[in-house]
Amino acid sequence: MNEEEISKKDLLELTGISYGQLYRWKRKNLIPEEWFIRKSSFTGQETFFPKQKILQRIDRIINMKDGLSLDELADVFSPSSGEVSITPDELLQRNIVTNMTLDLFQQEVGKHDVLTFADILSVYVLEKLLKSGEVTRDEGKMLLSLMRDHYAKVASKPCELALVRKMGVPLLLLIETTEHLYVDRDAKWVFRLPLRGCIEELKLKINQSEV
Amino acid sequence: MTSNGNRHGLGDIKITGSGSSGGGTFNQVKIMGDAEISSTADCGLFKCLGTAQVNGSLIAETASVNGTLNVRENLQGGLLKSQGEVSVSGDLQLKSISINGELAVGGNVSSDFAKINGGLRAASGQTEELLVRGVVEIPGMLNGEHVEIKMYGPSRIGELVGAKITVKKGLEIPLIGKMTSHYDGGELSAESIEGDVVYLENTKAAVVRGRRVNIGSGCEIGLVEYTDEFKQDTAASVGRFVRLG
Repeated sequence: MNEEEISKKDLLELTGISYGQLYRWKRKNLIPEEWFIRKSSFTGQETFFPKQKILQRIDRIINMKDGLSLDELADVFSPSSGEVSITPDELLQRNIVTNMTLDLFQQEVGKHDVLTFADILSVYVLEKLLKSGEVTRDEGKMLLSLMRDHYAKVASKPCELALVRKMGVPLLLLIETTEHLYVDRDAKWVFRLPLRGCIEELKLKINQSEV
Repeated sequence: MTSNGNRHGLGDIKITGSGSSGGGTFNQVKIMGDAEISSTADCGLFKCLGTAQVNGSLIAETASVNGTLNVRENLQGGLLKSQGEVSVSGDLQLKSISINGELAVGGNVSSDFAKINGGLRAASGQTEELLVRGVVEIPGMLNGEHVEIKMYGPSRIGELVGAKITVKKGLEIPLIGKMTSHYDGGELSAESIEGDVVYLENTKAAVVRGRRVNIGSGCEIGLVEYTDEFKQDTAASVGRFVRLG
Protein backbone atom coordinates (compact mmCIF):
# COMPACT_ATOMS: atom_id res chain seq x y z
CA MET A 1 0.00 0.00 0.00
CA ASN A 2 1.61 3.22 -1.14
CA GLU A 3 0.49 6.19 0.89
CA GLU A 4 0.06 9.49 -0.82
CA GLU A 5 2.88 11.89 -0.03
CA ILE A 6 3.10 15.64 0.23
CA SER A 7 6.26 17.69 -0.23
CA LYS A 8 7.40 19.96 2.56
CA LYS A 9 6.89 23.02 0.41
CA ASP A 10 3.27 22.11 -0.32
CA LEU A 11 2.67 21.16 3.28
CA LEU A 12 3.81 24.52 4.62
CA GLU A 13 1.80 26.38 2.01
CA LEU A 14 -1.33 24.32 2.63
CA THR A 15 -1.26 24.50 6.42
CA GLY A 16 0.26 27.97 6.79
CA ILE A 17 2.80 26.81 9.37
CA SER A 18 6.38 27.99 9.35
CA TYR A 19 9.68 26.12 9.22
CA GLY A 20 10.21 27.10 12.84
CA GLN A 21 6.93 25.49 13.92
CA LEU A 22 7.54 22.34 11.91
CA TYR A 23 10.99 21.82 13.36
CA ARG A 24 9.92 22.81 16.87
CA TRP A 25 7.25 20.10 16.73
CA LYS A 26 9.79 17.67 15.41
CA ARG A 27 12.11 18.44 18.33
CA LYS A 28 9.25 17.82 20.74
CA ASN A 29 8.50 14.53 18.99
CA LEU A 30 5.04 15.74 17.99
CA ILE A 31 5.99 14.73 14.48
CA PRO A 32 7.89 11.44 14.37
CA GLU A 33 11.19 11.16 12.55
CA GLU A 34 9.82 8.32 10.37
CA TRP A 35 7.47 10.76 8.69
CA PHE A 36 10.35 12.78 7.24
CA ILE A 37 10.92 10.95 3.99
CA ARG A 38 14.01 12.27 2.27
CA LYS A 39 14.32 11.92 -1.45
CA SER A 40 16.88 13.30 -3.81
CA SER A 41 15.66 15.51 -6.58
CA PHE A 42 17.27 17.71 -9.17
CA THR A 43 17.54 20.60 -6.70
CA GLY A 44 19.24 18.41 -4.14
CA GLN A 45 17.20 16.90 -1.41
CA GLU A 46 13.48 17.19 -0.90
CA THR A 47 11.51 16.03 2.11
CA PHE A 48 8.12 14.39 1.80
CA PHE A 49 5.54 13.37 4.38
CA PRO A 50 2.76 10.80 4.47
CA LYS A 51 0.01 13.20 3.47
CA GLN A 52 -2.95 12.00 5.49
CA LYS A 53 -1.03 11.41 8.68
CA ILE A 54 0.82 14.71 8.70
CA LEU A 55 -2.23 16.80 7.82
CA GLN A 56 -4.27 15.17 10.54
CA ARG A 57 -1.45 15.56 13.05
CA ILE A 58 -0.89 19.25 12.26
CA ASP A 59 -4.61 19.88 12.44
CA ARG A 60 -4.70 18.31 15.88
CA ILE A 61 -1.65 20.20 17.10
CA ILE A 62 -3.06 23.53 15.96
CA ASN A 63 -6.48 22.88 17.42
CA MET A 64 -5.21 21.69 20.77
CA LYS A 65 -2.27 24.04 21.10
CA ASP A 66 -4.17 26.64 23.10
CA GLY A 67 -5.21 24.30 25.85
CA LEU A 68 -2.03 22.30 26.32
CA SER A 69 1.68 23.02 26.43
CA LEU A 70 3.93 21.47 23.78
CA ASP A 71 5.24 18.97 26.31
CA GLU A 72 1.71 17.90 27.26
CA LEU A 73 0.92 17.59 23.59
CA ALA A 74 4.03 15.48 23.08
CA ASP A 75 2.72 13.16 25.73
CA VAL A 76 -0.61 12.84 23.96
CA PHE A 77 1.11 11.76 20.74
CA SER A 78 3.74 9.56 22.27
CA PRO A 79 2.98 5.88 21.95
CA SER A 80 4.15 5.29 25.50
CA SER A 81 1.67 5.28 28.27
CA GLY A 82 2.56 8.30 30.33
CA GLU A 83 1.68 8.44 33.96
CA VAL A 84 -2.01 7.93 34.26
CA SER A 85 -3.94 5.98 36.78
CA ILE A 86 -7.67 6.27 37.20
CA THR A 87 -10.22 4.51 39.35
CA PRO A 88 -12.98 2.52 37.64
CA ASP A 89 -15.57 5.00 38.92
CA GLU A 90 -13.77 7.90 37.31
CA LEU A 91 -13.78 6.06 33.98
CA LEU A 92 -17.54 5.89 34.19
CA GLN A 93 -17.99 9.46 35.33
CA ARG A 94 -15.80 10.79 32.58
CA ASN A 95 -17.75 8.81 30.01
CA ILE A 96 -14.66 7.01 28.81
CA VAL A 97 -16.36 3.61 29.11
CA THR A 98 -19.85 2.37 29.89
CA ASN A 99 -20.89 0.20 32.77
CA MET A 100 -21.39 -2.87 30.59
CA THR A 101 -17.84 -2.86 29.33
CA LEU A 102 -16.42 -2.21 32.75
CA ASP A 103 -18.43 -5.12 34.18
CA LEU A 104 -17.02 -7.44 31.56
CA PHE A 105 -13.53 -6.21 32.33
CA GLN A 106 -13.99 -6.74 36.05
CA GLN A 107 -15.38 -10.21 35.53
CA GLU A 108 -12.31 -11.18 33.57
CA VAL A 109 -9.57 -9.32 35.34
CA GLY A 110 -11.02 -8.83 38.80
CA LYS A 111 -11.78 -5.61 40.63
CA HIS A 112 -8.94 -3.19 41.05
CA ASP A 113 -9.06 0.11 42.90
CA VAL A 114 -6.82 1.85 40.42
CA LEU A 115 -6.35 1.00 36.78
CA THR A 116 -3.03 1.39 34.97
CA PHE A 117 -2.86 3.00 31.57
CA ALA A 118 -2.59 -0.41 29.89
CA ASP A 119 -5.79 -1.49 31.65
CA ILE A 120 -7.60 1.69 30.72
CA LEU A 121 -6.50 1.23 27.13
CA SER A 122 -7.79 -2.36 27.14
CA VAL A 123 -11.19 -1.31 28.43
CA TYR A 124 -11.34 1.61 26.05
CA VAL A 125 -10.51 -0.54 23.04
CA LEU A 126 -12.99 -3.15 24.21
CA GLU A 127 -15.69 -0.52 24.56
CA LYS A 128 -14.97 0.77 21.10
CA LEU A 129 -15.10 -2.65 19.50
CA LEU A 130 -18.18 -3.80 21.37
CA LYS A 131 -19.98 -0.61 20.42
CA SER A 132 -19.15 -0.98 16.75
CA GLY A 133 -20.33 -4.57 16.93
CA GLU A 134 -17.07 -5.91 15.57
CA VAL A 135 -16.46 -8.25 18.47
CA THR A 136 -18.71 -10.44 20.56
CA ARG A 137 -18.50 -10.53 24.33
CA ASP A 138 -16.51 -13.76 24.20
CA GLU A 139 -14.07 -12.25 21.76
CA GLY A 140 -13.90 -9.28 24.10
CA LYS A 141 -12.71 -11.58 26.85
CA MET A 142 -10.03 -12.90 24.51
CA LEU A 143 -9.01 -9.34 23.84
CA LEU A 144 -8.59 -8.59 27.53
CA SER A 145 -6.40 -11.59 28.16
CA LEU A 146 -4.37 -10.90 25.04
CA MET A 147 -3.73 -7.32 26.17
CA ARG A 148 -2.87 -8.46 29.69
CA ASP A 149 -0.41 -11.06 28.46
CA HIS A 150 1.33 -9.21 25.69
CA TYR A 151 0.62 -5.48 25.62
CA ALA A 152 3.58 -4.62 27.85
CA LYS A 153 5.97 -5.93 25.20
CA VAL A 154 4.68 -3.67 22.47
CA ALA A 155 3.60 -0.72 24.61
CA SER A 156 5.97 1.87 23.22
CA LYS A 157 5.90 0.68 19.63
CA PRO A 158 3.41 1.22 16.88
CA CYS A 159 1.17 -1.83 16.94
CA GLU A 160 -2.11 -3.07 15.64
CA LEU A 161 -4.88 -5.20 16.93
CA ALA A 162 -6.57 -7.45 14.41
CA LEU A 163 -9.28 -10.05 14.37
CA VAL A 164 -9.43 -12.87 11.86
CA ARG A 165 -12.31 -15.31 11.69
CA LYS A 166 -12.26 -18.60 9.89
CA MET A 167 -15.35 -20.76 9.78
CA GLY A 168 -16.68 -18.86 12.77
CA VAL A 169 -13.55 -19.38 14.83
CA PRO A 170 -12.01 -16.10 15.97
CA LEU A 171 -8.27 -15.48 16.10
CA LEU A 172 -7.19 -12.28 17.76
CA LEU A 173 -3.80 -10.84 16.88
CA LEU A 174 -1.62 -8.16 18.42
CA ILE A 175 0.84 -7.17 15.71
CA GLU A 176 3.96 -5.29 16.59
CA THR A 177 4.92 -3.78 13.28
CA THR A 178 2.38 -2.78 10.73
CA GLU A 179 3.78 -5.14 8.16
CA HIS A 180 1.49 -6.92 5.80
CA LEU A 181 -0.08 -10.12 6.87
CA TYR A 182 -1.87 -12.42 4.50
CA VAL A 183 -4.43 -15.00 5.41
CA ASP A 184 -5.85 -17.88 3.43
CA ARG A 185 -8.99 -17.34 1.46
CA ASP A 186 -11.43 -18.92 3.89
CA ALA A 187 -10.28 -16.63 6.65
CA LYS A 188 -11.77 -13.20 6.94
CA TRP A 189 -10.31 -10.01 8.39
CA VAL A 190 -12.91 -8.58 10.73
CA PHE A 191 -10.94 -5.44 11.61
CA ARG A 192 -7.46 -4.03 11.93
CA LEU A 193 -7.12 -1.36 14.54
CA PRO A 194 -3.90 0.65 14.96
CA LEU A 195 -3.49 1.16 18.69
CA ARG A 196 -1.58 4.41 18.31
CA GLY A 197 -4.76 6.15 17.18
CA CYS A 198 -6.68 4.72 20.14
CA ILE A 199 -3.97 5.88 22.52
CA GLU A 200 -4.20 9.42 21.15
CA GLU A 201 -7.98 9.45 21.46
CA LEU A 202 -7.85 8.06 24.94
CA LYS A 203 -5.21 10.49 26.16
CA LEU A 204 -7.20 13.34 24.74
CA LYS A 205 -10.30 12.15 26.56
CA ILE A 206 -8.39 11.82 29.80
CA ASN A 207 -6.77 15.23 29.39
CA GLN A 208 -9.92 17.01 28.33
CA SER A 209 -12.00 15.69 31.14
CA GLU A 210 -9.37 16.89 33.58
CA VAL A 211 -9.72 20.52 32.62
CA MET B 1 16.76 14.88 44.95
CA THR B 2 17.56 18.55 45.43
CA SER B 3 18.46 21.02 42.78
CA ASN B 4 21.99 21.58 43.95
CA GLY B 5 22.74 18.00 43.17
CA ASN B 6 23.01 16.93 46.78
CA ARG B 7 21.57 13.48 47.28
CA HIS B 8 21.49 12.74 50.97
CA GLY B 9 22.03 9.24 52.12
CA LEU B 10 24.24 8.28 49.22
CA GLY B 11 27.97 7.87 49.41
CA ASP B 12 30.65 9.96 47.77
CA ILE B 13 33.69 8.78 45.93
CA LYS B 14 36.90 10.67 45.65
CA ILE B 15 39.74 9.54 43.51
CA THR B 16 43.04 11.35 43.86
CA GLY B 17 46.03 10.35 41.84
CA SER B 18 45.19 7.26 39.90
CA GLY B 19 42.33 4.93 40.69
CA SER B 20 39.25 3.13 39.59
CA SER B 21 35.67 2.50 40.63
CA GLY B 22 33.08 -0.05 39.67
CA GLY B 23 30.35 2.56 39.14
CA GLY B 24 26.98 2.76 40.87
CA THR B 25 24.83 5.45 42.44
CA PHE B 26 26.51 8.23 44.37
CA ASN B 27 25.96 11.63 45.85
CA GLN B 28 29.22 13.06 44.56
CA VAL B 29 32.02 11.76 42.39
CA LYS B 30 35.24 13.77 42.54
CA ILE B 31 38.26 12.93 40.50
CA MET B 32 41.62 14.64 40.72
CA GLY B 33 44.07 12.84 38.53
CA ASP B 34 43.30 9.83 36.44
CA ALA B 35 40.29 7.59 36.99
CA GLU B 36 38.46 4.80 35.31
CA ILE B 37 34.89 3.90 36.18
CA SER B 38 34.11 0.47 34.88
CA SER B 39 30.33 0.73 34.48
CA THR B 40 27.49 3.26 34.62
CA ALA B 41 27.71 5.98 37.27
CA ASP B 42 24.66 7.94 38.45
CA CYS B 43 25.40 10.91 40.68
CA GLY B 44 24.32 14.33 41.83
CA LEU B 45 27.65 15.97 41.15
CA PHE B 46 30.43 14.73 38.92
CA LYS B 47 33.63 16.69 39.09
CA CYS B 48 36.75 15.85 37.18
CA LEU B 49 40.10 17.58 37.28
CA GLY B 50 42.27 15.47 35.06
CA THR B 51 41.19 12.47 33.05
CA ALA B 52 38.15 10.29 33.54
CA GLN B 53 36.99 7.35 31.57
CA VAL B 54 33.48 5.95 32.14
CA ASN B 55 32.96 2.53 30.58
CA GLY B 56 29.18 2.83 30.74
CA SER B 57 26.83 5.79 30.89
CA LEU B 58 27.26 8.84 33.04
CA ILE B 59 24.13 10.31 34.59
CA ALA B 60 24.78 13.51 36.51
CA GLU B 61 22.70 16.44 37.64
CA THR B 62 25.80 18.56 37.35
CA ALA B 63 29.01 17.53 35.62
CA SER B 64 32.06 19.72 35.62
CA VAL B 65 35.17 18.77 33.72
CA ASN B 66 38.59 20.36 33.64
CA GLY B 67 40.60 18.07 31.45
CA THR B 68 39.28 15.07 29.62
CA LEU B 69 36.13 13.05 30.03
CA ASN B 70 35.43 9.99 27.96
CA VAL B 71 32.04 8.26 28.20
CA ARG B 72 31.61 4.91 26.48
CA GLU B 73 27.80 5.00 26.38
CA ASN B 74 25.45 7.96 27.03
CA LEU B 75 25.75 11.17 28.98
CA GLN B 76 22.50 12.31 30.59
CA GLY B 77 21.38 14.77 33.19
CA GLY B 78 21.26 18.48 33.86
CA LEU B 79 24.25 20.69 33.45
CA LEU B 80 27.62 20.10 31.81
CA LYS B 81 30.46 22.56 32.16
CA SER B 82 33.75 21.73 30.59
CA GLN B 83 37.14 23.23 29.98
CA GLY B 84 38.89 20.68 27.85
CA GLU B 85 37.63 17.71 25.97
CA VAL B 86 34.45 15.70 26.41
CA SER B 87 33.74 12.73 24.22
CA VAL B 88 30.65 10.55 24.37
CA SER B 89 30.26 7.48 22.19
CA GLY B 90 26.47 7.27 22.48
CA ASP B 91 23.92 10.06 22.87
CA LEU B 92 24.11 13.16 24.97
CA GLN B 93 20.94 14.44 26.63
CA LEU B 94 21.25 17.40 28.98
CA LYS B 95 19.48 20.61 29.88
CA SER B 96 22.40 22.97 29.60
CA ILE B 97 25.88 22.72 28.13
CA SER B 98 28.72 25.16 28.42
CA ILE B 99 31.97 24.13 26.78
CA ASN B 100 35.34 25.72 26.31
CA GLY B 101 37.15 23.18 24.22
CA GLU B 102 35.72 20.28 22.35
CA LEU B 103 32.57 18.21 22.54
CA ALA B 104 32.49 15.06 20.42
CA VAL B 105 29.39 12.88 20.45
CA GLY B 106 28.95 9.70 18.45
CA GLY B 107 25.16 9.91 18.42
CA ASN B 108 22.66 12.69 18.97
CA VAL B 109 23.20 15.83 21.04
CA SER B 110 20.10 17.12 22.76
CA SER B 111 20.10 20.07 25.14
CA ASP B 112 17.81 23.00 25.83
CA PHE B 113 20.73 25.36 25.90
CA ALA B 114 24.26 24.93 24.56
CA LYS B 115 27.14 27.36 24.38
CA ILE B 116 30.31 26.08 22.85
CA ASN B 117 33.59 27.89 22.38
CA GLY B 118 35.64 25.47 20.36
CA GLY B 119 34.42 22.45 18.47
CA LEU B 120 31.16 20.55 18.32
CA ARG B 121 31.07 17.19 16.59
CA ALA B 122 28.04 14.91 16.60
CA ALA B 123 25.93 12.74 14.32
CA SER B 124 22.88 14.98 14.82
CA GLY B 125 21.69 17.60 17.26
CA GLN B 126 18.69 19.40 18.69
CA THR B 127 18.66 22.40 20.97
CA GLU B 128 16.40 25.29 21.80
CA GLU B 129 19.33 27.66 21.85
CA LEU B 130 22.76 26.91 20.41
CA LEU B 131 25.64 29.35 20.35
CA VAL B 132 28.91 28.20 18.84
CA ARG B 133 32.13 30.08 18.37
CA GLY B 134 34.41 27.75 16.52
CA VAL B 135 33.74 24.72 14.41
CA VAL B 136 30.65 22.53 13.95
CA GLU B 137 30.69 19.16 12.29
CA ILE B 138 27.30 17.45 12.13
CA PRO B 139 26.69 15.25 9.10
CA GLY B 140 23.00 14.73 9.98
CA MET B 141 20.36 17.23 11.02
CA LEU B 142 20.97 20.12 13.40
CA ASN B 143 17.58 21.36 14.60
CA GLY B 144 17.39 24.40 16.85
CA GLU B 145 14.93 27.11 17.73
CA HIS B 146 17.74 29.61 17.69
CA VAL B 147 21.12 28.70 16.22
CA GLU B 148 24.03 31.09 16.06
CA ILE B 149 27.38 30.00 14.72
CA LYS B 150 30.45 32.16 14.55
CA MET B 151 32.98 30.27 12.51
CA TYR B 152 36.66 30.00 13.24
CA GLY B 153 37.44 27.18 10.84
CA PRO B 154 35.79 24.85 8.35
CA SER B 155 32.36 23.63 9.46
CA ARG B 156 30.03 21.09 7.92
CA ILE B 157 26.36 20.42 8.62
CA GLY B 158 24.01 18.12 6.69
CA GLU B 159 20.70 19.88 7.30
CA LEU B 160 20.60 23.01 9.40
CA VAL B 161 17.01 23.80 10.39
CA GLY B 162 15.10 25.85 12.93
CA ALA B 163 13.33 29.12 13.55
CA LYS B 164 16.20 31.61 13.61
CA ILE B 165 19.52 30.71 12.06
CA THR B 166 22.55 32.95 12.00
CA VAL B 167 25.91 31.93 10.55
CA LYS B 168 28.70 34.49 10.68
CA LYS B 169 32.37 34.53 9.92
CA GLY B 170 34.59 34.89 12.92
CA LEU B 171 36.29 38.17 13.51
CA GLU B 172 39.74 38.43 12.04
CA ILE B 173 42.56 38.24 14.48
CA PRO B 174 44.62 41.31 13.70
CA LEU B 175 48.19 40.69 12.53
CA ILE B 176 48.49 37.00 13.38
CA GLY B 177 45.56 35.93 11.28
CA LYS B 178 46.71 37.84 8.24
CA MET B 179 50.29 36.71 8.48
CA THR B 180 49.86 32.99 9.00
CA SER B 181 47.62 32.12 6.07
CA HIS B 182 44.73 33.55 4.12
CA TYR B 183 42.39 33.68 7.07
CA ASP B 184 38.86 34.16 5.79
CA GLY B 185 36.82 33.81 8.95
CA GLY B 186 35.89 30.15 8.58
CA GLU B 187 33.29 28.67 6.27
CA LEU B 188 30.28 26.41 6.46
CA SER B 189 29.17 23.87 3.94
CA ALA B 190 25.68 22.43 4.20
CA GLU B 191 23.29 20.47 2.04
CA SER B 192 20.26 22.48 3.04
CA ILE B 193 19.40 25.27 5.45
CA GLU B 194 15.81 26.01 6.43
CA GLY B 195 14.43 28.50 8.93
CA ASP B 196 12.01 31.35 9.40
CA VAL B 197 14.75 33.96 9.63
CA VAL B 198 18.07 33.02 8.04
CA TYR B 199 21.24 35.05 7.90
CA LEU B 200 24.36 33.52 6.36
CA GLU B 201 27.96 34.48 5.70
CA ASN B 202 30.74 32.38 4.15
CA THR B 203 28.32 29.53 3.55
CA LYS B 204 28.15 27.03 0.74
CA ALA B 205 24.77 25.34 0.48
CA ALA B 206 22.76 23.64 -2.23
CA VAL B 207 19.40 24.99 -0.99
CA VAL B 208 18.36 27.69 1.46
CA ARG B 209 14.68 28.01 2.32
CA GLY B 210 13.01 30.49 4.62
CA ARG B 211 10.60 33.30 5.22
CA ARG B 212 13.21 36.00 5.50
CA VAL B 213 16.50 35.05 3.91
CA ASN B 214 19.57 37.24 3.98
CA ILE B 215 22.61 35.94 2.10
CA GLY B 216 25.72 37.79 3.25
CA SER B 217 29.21 38.02 1.86
CA GLY B 218 31.22 34.98 0.92
CA CYS B 219 28.19 32.74 0.29
CA GLU B 220 27.69 30.33 -2.57
CA ILE B 221 24.09 29.16 -2.67
CA GLY B 222 22.53 27.03 -5.40
CA LEU B 223 18.87 27.85 -4.81
CA VAL B 224 17.06 30.20 -2.45
CA GLU B 225 13.34 29.74 -1.83
CA TYR B 226 11.73 32.43 0.30
CA THR B 227 8.26 33.69 1.11
CA ASP B 228 8.60 37.16 2.66
CA GLU B 229 11.93 38.77 2.04
CA PHE B 230 15.20 38.10 0.23
CA LYS B 231 18.43 40.04 0.46
CA GLN B 232 21.76 39.29 -1.12
CA ASP B 233 25.17 40.82 -0.53
CA THR B 234 27.10 41.93 -3.60
CA ALA B 235 29.91 39.61 -2.56
CA ALA B 236 27.65 36.55 -2.56
CA SER B 237 26.66 34.21 -5.34
CA VAL B 238 23.16 32.81 -5.60
CA GLY B 239 22.35 30.49 -8.50
CA ARG B 240 18.61 31.01 -8.49
CA PHE B 241 16.08 32.56 -6.13
CA VAL B 242 12.36 31.94 -6.12
CA ARG B 243 9.58 33.57 -4.17
CA LEU B 244 6.99 31.06 -3.03
CA GLY B 245 3.37 31.51 -2.10
